[in-house]
Order: sequence, then structure tokens, then C-alpha cells
Amino acid sequence: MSHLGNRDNPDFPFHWGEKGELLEDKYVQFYKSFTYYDEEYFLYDSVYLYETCQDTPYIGKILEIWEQQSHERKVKILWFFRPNEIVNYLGDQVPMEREIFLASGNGLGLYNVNPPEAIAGKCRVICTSKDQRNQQPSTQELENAEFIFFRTFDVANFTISDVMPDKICGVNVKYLLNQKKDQKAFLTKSKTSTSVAEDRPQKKPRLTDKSTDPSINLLTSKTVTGSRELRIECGEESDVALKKLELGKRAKYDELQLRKDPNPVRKGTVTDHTSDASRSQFLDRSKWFQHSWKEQLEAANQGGRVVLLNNLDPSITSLEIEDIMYRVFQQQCRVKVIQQATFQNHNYGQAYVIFKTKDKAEQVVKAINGGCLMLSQGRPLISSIGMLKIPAKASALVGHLPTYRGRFQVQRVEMICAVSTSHGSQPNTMEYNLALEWLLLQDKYLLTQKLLHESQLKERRYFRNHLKSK
Amino acid sequence: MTSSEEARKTYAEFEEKVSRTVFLDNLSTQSALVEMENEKQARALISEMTNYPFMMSGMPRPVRAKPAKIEMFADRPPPPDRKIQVRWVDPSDPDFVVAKKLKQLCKKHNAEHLALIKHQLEEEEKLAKHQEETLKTNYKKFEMIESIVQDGTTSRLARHYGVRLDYD
Repeated sequence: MSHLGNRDNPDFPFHWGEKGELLEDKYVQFYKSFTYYDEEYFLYDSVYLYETCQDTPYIGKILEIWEQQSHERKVKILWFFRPNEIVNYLGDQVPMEREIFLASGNGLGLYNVNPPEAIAGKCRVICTSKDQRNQQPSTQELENAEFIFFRTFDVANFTISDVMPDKICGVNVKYLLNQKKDQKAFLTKSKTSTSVAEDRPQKKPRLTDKSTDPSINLLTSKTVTGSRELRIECGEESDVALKKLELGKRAKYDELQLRKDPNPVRKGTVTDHTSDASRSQFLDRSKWFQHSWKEQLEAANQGGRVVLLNNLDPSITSLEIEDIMYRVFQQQCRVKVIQQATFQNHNYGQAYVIFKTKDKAEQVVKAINGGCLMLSQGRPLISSIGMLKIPAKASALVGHLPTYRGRFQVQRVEMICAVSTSHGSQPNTMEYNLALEWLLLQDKYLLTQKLLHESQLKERRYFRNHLKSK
Repeated sequence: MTSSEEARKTYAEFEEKVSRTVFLDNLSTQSALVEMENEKQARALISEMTNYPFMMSGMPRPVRAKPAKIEMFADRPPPPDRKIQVRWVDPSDPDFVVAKKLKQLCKKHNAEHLALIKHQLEEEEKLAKHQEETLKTNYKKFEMIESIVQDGTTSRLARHYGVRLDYD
């Protein structure tokens, strides 16, 4: 707590304000305000608290300010939650823009006691609750506000409510909502501040992300970096980090973003990859809202609408096939090439085509197989109704031998730890031999496959050279 | 940026992605494409998994790693400036006969390939069965040895025959 050493330093920019209650038996002096870096903080002010390695500062309300007998300064902070901090408990409730949630109830995460040096600056939070006790904000105040709140988050049962309780953390809720006195201060402040063209950032370095206040002048914020760093250093030593970790605070922001943005995915088929202008007239709206490809394929296969194309160029793409299907058959269809994996011969590309009706699929198959549709590189197309037949694996986990538990296993684990290999192996175990057998088998088949494919390629080249037009 | 430039850029990005992706096969029932941070990491992973037996909790797993190829991505973008030619070959065209041969060849080759894969799967299954039995036997053996050591049979026998037992 080295910052306390600064206490006697007259240059340390901290001064007590109006005194409050004095608890003589506990030697605790309460205060109603204090000044820190030329900013005066009052009870129930909303403030930013900064923690290093956290890019967004915490937001809280000052509930109590006191000095202990040991001259330690303390502030009690009631927390606000950002929506991304409680994303797991939001359910179907969509947070509003700039909305934060006031902590309520009893439990971990409601408040923390911090040194006032942890405070990074004031935060303009406006309560928009329709509660009678709440002084309704003006439109200008709303525009000026960095955050708004009208709902509470109960830290005990993780629920969100728009009814303000009578007391939070032993404090009458009316102090926590917009107060009359507060408002006057706000009004005069905002009036002056607009005329003095954003002198606010100079007074208190804002630690919010810039998006909340784009008007912050870069130059002015540069001039204050010196003092800001100093304050952050003080904050580092504070115990802000204690804040409500148990609540799953670190829920991912992306998750929230996802919820906010439930736009349906539009598949790439209507993008401008296909330069054919004629196609754009036939934009197929059924492609916009998609089931997963697997579901579609299964459903289409039952209806006999799936055509398997074979003898394609292995590098051909779904878009190119769609284009070909349109050019040759004037058919709008869904195409997906089959990924080259275990069962695919990598000399030949394959693809599934889903047609709109069974008749159309049959027509196309008949035309392709009866005639000869030649693609580039001497590849006459082959087609068939239905899906690829791949050999079913007899057992789901071939070669995944059971690991025996019990004493034997315990000993083995110790042995492994002793030489510290996780996925490597030691040649002195019997499992190593088992693994070698697998490697041998796999290498054997890899080689066989390679030889087979080479000879196949030769055969194909031989016949292809007989084509007049290549 | 014109559309062709954009296509080229997309394709270059895609190729970069492919170069740092690893294809994992024999992963229980499925295979997977794993995207690494860079090509170097991908290559290191492949060489390690190819050159050393892959083990999990001390047991070998028949997982194989290969460099990913463009053909393994179903959603690959088309290479820029490529136009695939399509034409109907007339039955009177001499190419028609050759094309027919090529079609047959394709079918034959795919059948050959599938037969090979099937054979490999059967062999793998055989090996797995064999190994499981070996493992069971070995396990029994170790258990027996352990129980003899634990209940003091070995030390009694050692005393009886006047042999000094050294566990190291």
C-alpha cells in the first residue's frame, strides 16, 4: 500500500471535503465528499474504477466515504453491471443502448470497499426508471449521459428487475436514483461545459472506450495522459480486482453481440462471384434462410432430389458448379462439393446438387449420363441420384484401446509424470509397441494409396490424350 | 477495388488459411480441420504427429495428421480468373467414345479407391482387436506380478531360496 505513503506529501492531490458522522468508539470519521485530482466527489456520485489488464473500467456509486484511525481512506462502492458482465443471466431480455444494471439484493458482488485512489473519474449515469421517487431526466441530460439504468440485477438470485427496491445495501434508494440537487448541478454543469467546448476531458481523463464519447479531443486527452497514468498506478494497488468475480463476470462480449445481432445468414450464392448478370434476376429467396446443409441434404435425399456429380476437377468450387448447372440446364440448385477426406479419391472431385423437384433431378441425370457433358481438362461428367455410399466403420472407435483404471493406471500416470510427456511416448512401454504397430499399418496404406493414385493418374492421362479437343 | 482484385485477395487469404491448417484423420469417427496460428506451427504439428506415436493417457491413438489441401474445404472460393469450359459432346464426335472411356475409368478408379480404404479399415479393426487382447493379457500378467509382490509371496520365496531381492 505504498500510495498511503503519499498521505503526508502536500503535493498529493487528495483533500477531504465536508465532514460527516464521527464514530468515536471505532475512531472512524465519515465524510460527505473529497477532492482528488481537482475533481470533487460527493456521496452517491457515479464513478469509474479502473483495474489494470481490464480494458473497460468498472462503474459504481459511492455509498460511503470514511477515514480510519490508521488514516487509511476508504470508499464503499455499490456496483453497476455492464450487460456483458451478466450476459448469462439476461435470458431473452435485450439490454438497451448504454444500459447498465444497478446491483441489488444481498450477496457477493453487491459492493466492495476500495481506497479512493482507485477511482478514475466521474461517470455520468442517469436513471431512467419510471419510479415515482426518481426525478425524471430531461432530454439533454439523457443525451449527455454516458450510461443509463432503470433495472437492477439481484446478486443473490441473479435476476433482473425493473422495480426499484426500497433499500439497496442499507441505503434508501431515493439517493441512488436521480436527485433534485444532483440535477441542478448537472444542468449548470452541462450548460457551462457546452460553452467551454469540452473542457471536461481535461479535468478528468476518461477511461471509457472512445465510442461512448467521440467528442473527446485527441489533443486534450494527450495533455492529460501524465496525470492519468499516475492515477492508474494508484489504482493498480487497490483491491478493485475483488469485484464480483463469482458472477461469471468474464462472460464473453461476443456472446452478447451475437444476441444483439440475430441477422439471418445469407449464403454466398447471391454474391457477385458469379458475374453472369442474367442470374441475378433469378435470385432464389429460399437460399436466404438456411437449415444446415446436412439437414437439407438428408431431407432432399429422401425426396430423391439429390444428384451426386462425379469426375469433377478436384479443385472445382460449389459456386462454379452452380454456375454450370445454370448455364447448361437453366436450373437453380444448391451445390456443395464433397470435402476430400478419408473416403475420397483425390484425383476426382465430387459434389452434391440439390434440385427443387425429383423430376428435374432425374432429367438432369438422364441428360448427363445419356449424353456427354465435357468439362475443362477432359472431364466428362458422371451423375447419379442419391448420396455417396461409403463403407460404414464397423466400430465407432477402432484402435481406441481402453485405458485400464485402478492401481495399474495410477502407477502408469506417475511414470508418465516422472518423464513428463503428455502426448509423446517412451519407447520402453508396451503401449509404445502398440503405437508402432499402428504407425506401420498406416504408413503401409498411405504408400499403397499413393501408388494406386499414381497409376490411376497415368491411366487417366493416357485416355485424355486421345481427346481431340483438350 | 474491382471485383477481380477482390476475388484475388479472397483467394490469397484462403490459400494462407489452408497453409496453416492441419487435417486430422482417424479421430474416433470423424476427421477434422484444425486451423493453427501460422504455417510453421502447422508443419511442426504434422511432423511431430507423423514421427512420433500419438498417445493419450499413455495409450496410443491412431490419429493421423496431414497438411490440409484446398479440396478439403467445402466453402472454398473459386480461384480468380478461372473459367470452366462446358460443352456437350455430340455422339458422332470421336471424343464421345473417349469420354465414355474416361467415365468408366473414373468409376473404376473410385471403386478401387474405396476397396483399398475398406481393406484398410478392416485391417485396422483386426489390429485393434489383436492389440486389445494383447493388452488384456499383459494387464493380467502385471496384476498377477503385483499381487504376488504385495502379499509377500516373492519375499517368502526369496527367503526360502536364499536369494536377495532387489526391487531396483
